[in-house]
Amino acid sequence: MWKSVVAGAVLLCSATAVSQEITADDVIRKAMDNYRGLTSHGQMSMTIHRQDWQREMAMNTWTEGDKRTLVRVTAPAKDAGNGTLSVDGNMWTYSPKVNRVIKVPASMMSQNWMGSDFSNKDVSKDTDIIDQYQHQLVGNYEQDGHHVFVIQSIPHEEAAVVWGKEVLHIRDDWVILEHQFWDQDDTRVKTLRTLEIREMDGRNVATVIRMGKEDATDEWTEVRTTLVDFDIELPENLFTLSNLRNPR
Amino acid sequence: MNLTWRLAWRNLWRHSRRTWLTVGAMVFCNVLLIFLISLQLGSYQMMIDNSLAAYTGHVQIQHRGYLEQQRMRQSIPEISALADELRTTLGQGDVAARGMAFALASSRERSFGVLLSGVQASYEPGVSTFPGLIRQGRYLNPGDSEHIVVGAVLAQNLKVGLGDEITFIGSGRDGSFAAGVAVVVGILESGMEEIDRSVAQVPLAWFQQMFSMGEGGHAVVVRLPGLEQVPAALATAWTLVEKSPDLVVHDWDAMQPGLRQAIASDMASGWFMYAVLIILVAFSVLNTQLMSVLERTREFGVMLALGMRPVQLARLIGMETLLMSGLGMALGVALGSVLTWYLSVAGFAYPGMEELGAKFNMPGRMYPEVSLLSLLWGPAVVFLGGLLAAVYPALRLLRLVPVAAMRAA
Amino acid sequence: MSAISCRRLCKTFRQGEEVIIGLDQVDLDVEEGSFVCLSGPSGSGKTTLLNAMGGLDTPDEGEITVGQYRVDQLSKSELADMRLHSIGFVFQAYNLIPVLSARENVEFVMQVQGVPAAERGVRVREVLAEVGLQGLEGRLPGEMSGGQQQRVAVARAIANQPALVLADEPTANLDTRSAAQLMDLFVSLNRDLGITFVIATHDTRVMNYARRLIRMRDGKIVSDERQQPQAMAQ
Repeated sequence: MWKSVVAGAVLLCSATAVSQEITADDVIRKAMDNYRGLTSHGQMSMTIHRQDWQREMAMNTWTEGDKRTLVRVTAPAKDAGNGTLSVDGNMWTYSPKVNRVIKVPASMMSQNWMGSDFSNKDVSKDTDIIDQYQHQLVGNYEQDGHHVFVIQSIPHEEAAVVWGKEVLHIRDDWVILEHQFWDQDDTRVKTLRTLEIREMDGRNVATVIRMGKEDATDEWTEVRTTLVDFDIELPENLFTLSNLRNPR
Repeated sequence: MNLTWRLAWRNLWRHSRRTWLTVGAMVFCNVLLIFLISLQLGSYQMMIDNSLAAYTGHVQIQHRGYLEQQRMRQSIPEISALADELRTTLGQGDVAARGMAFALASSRERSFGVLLSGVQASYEPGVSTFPGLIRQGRYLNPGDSEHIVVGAVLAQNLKVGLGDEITFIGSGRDGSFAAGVAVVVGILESGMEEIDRSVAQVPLAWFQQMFSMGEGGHAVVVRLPGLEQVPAALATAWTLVEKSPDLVVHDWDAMQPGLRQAIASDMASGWFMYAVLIILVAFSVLNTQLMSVLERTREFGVMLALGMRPVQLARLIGMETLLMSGLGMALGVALGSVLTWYLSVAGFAYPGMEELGAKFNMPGRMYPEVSLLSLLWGPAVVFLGGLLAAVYPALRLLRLVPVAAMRAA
Repeated sequence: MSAISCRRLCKTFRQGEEVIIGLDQVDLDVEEGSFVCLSGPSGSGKTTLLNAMGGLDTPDEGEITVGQYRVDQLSKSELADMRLHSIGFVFQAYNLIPVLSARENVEFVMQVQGVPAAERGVRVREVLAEVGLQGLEGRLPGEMSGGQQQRVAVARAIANQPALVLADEPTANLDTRSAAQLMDLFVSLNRDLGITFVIATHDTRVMNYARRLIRMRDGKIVSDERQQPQAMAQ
């Protein structure tokens, strides 16, 4: 009992201390680091929900550093083996049906990924937001004993970004609670909300997240993380085109 | 003939040269208006036909909401069967089924997002001019499967030529991963950047297989011989889809709303010019009738003295104008009809138009539209304008005082 | 019974700054069936008086009665009605409609008067015969002499059998022979049909035909004599 009280007090202190010293840039940085780690491997399922139908698929994801992501579909059987590789802002997709790797052109990065509500860009889990945006701490609040930072990120003038601004709610354990995407006309287009947080491999991880469009409440895509390992040893050639082409 | 009409008619020819000049102006204006309006209506007809003939067709059956949202799932089941049924029921025009899907097209070197169309190779040439615009290779054949026809600009962007492969990746109707490889058999060149960059057509059957469409598609396209047949075809199509509440029938106006707007704005500018022409003629009538009233002031004064009412005098002027305008209209319509009828048979081309037409797989001559509207609209307005112009001179008569009028020179 | 009765008729015209007296306290009675000449120099008021009788001009003051009409109290359209149905006019300049033939000129007035078409044809022939124009019915005014044109004008004036004919200088444009023929026609119409004639003129040849000669000056009646009519000197 006393332990938790102390822990709470310490947490409170540290949160207050943190909020005084930490900059918006730091919060974003830490949030990115938290969900990517140095390296990571996760197993997830994706549910695409529409008014008249719903579809499920399962996939494996690997990340390394800020700029490398590999997603491979494992189910349903019809789609198993399809994969997407993202390296340094470039994206390739592989389909076993045609046994070919296709580069996704930059102009298509904001298109949705395989019919979901995530864009190709979202799926690449790119960390462009760190250096292509100007971050500003616009608020904070307490929730479930955590301190939450509200950060508004506005893209630099020259950044090749479709959004007018993004607003993130980040907890002091660096879990992103909410990620809002606003267009150039200052209208919120879609929001990624965290529905469940669990500890996995020593970190608090947003295990269920849901992307929903603001103008269609019955259309959303949910990603449930069933397993994630951080800071693991990854094979040297994991993030290469030849690996994308040769699924294990 | 009634004595008053006889009087009006003879009065008209007291200054025959002046009357002929005015009637001549009316005839000229009428002929010009008939020609221009017929040409204008004809060119709209052609504009509509050409732009609808390109790809859209006059009428389409689609899933409800597809026109606005273009979602993959908003599809028509058993689309080929529906197209066949419509073709048989209509008995005229051409009918073809299509499927449409956004996909990532990729060659060895480049990738671009495209709107891929699945078409019926044997029916598509009937509803679209695109198949006739192939500059290299050939259009799709009924036996084709993994074959594609692309626009020249798209081919250039992808750096592919005849025989090269293009890979497609997209999502199927069920959300699954769709992918396929097609060999380029034809390259289409319309000269219009937008078309040449976007056309990508594959056989419908292969399209359905690749995008998990089953027997479905997105549009049944109908091209008719002319716009006149649209209402009937719409009605026929509606009766066919009556049993499927998810399907709707669109006419060309719903699918290409810009077309009617473009025509409306062009019409507005045309009407402005016509209005100026008509006003000029009306002024000429006004001048003639005003002069004729002024120089007869004394005569009218006597008529008033004899007990005629000013209204009767005004009516006389009205009758004179009616006769003059009627003459202008009759001669104008007669001459204009002959001229326009001749052009509507022989056709009419601006210099260079025929070459252009050949290049775009479009008719090279335009044919003025001879209709009751095009023949009578202009002259009728000129006629009314003339009558209106006589109102002022006639009104002047209402103020005439017999003694003063008789004293006038 | 008086065909025309005028009481204290006054009329002034304004010509720029100047006020011209047209009629000055005119009292006059004209019996039915009389043949009256108004004479006097230009500006004496004879035409003004004639116009007042015909309802072409309204007096400023005074009363004027023509037949059953109180002319000074009638509206414009009532005046037009009166002129159309009860009074015939003959003007100095004939004033025929140049594009209509003799027959049509007469018929046109009858049509305006509302005479039925069937009746018109017969009546036009009668009236033209009456004024001695048989055989010239189809001629246009331009194809006739002045005397003939004035006869058409007379035919037009009597087409609807008016009780009163007002004539303003009817002989001014006619040669002596034509003038004599016209006056003879007036006399016979007066005698045979009982039509009252009031003729404004300064032509002494015309005055000789009058049974009553009224002289005017400066808007006043200066003399009013009954006389024995004489034939015009040839």
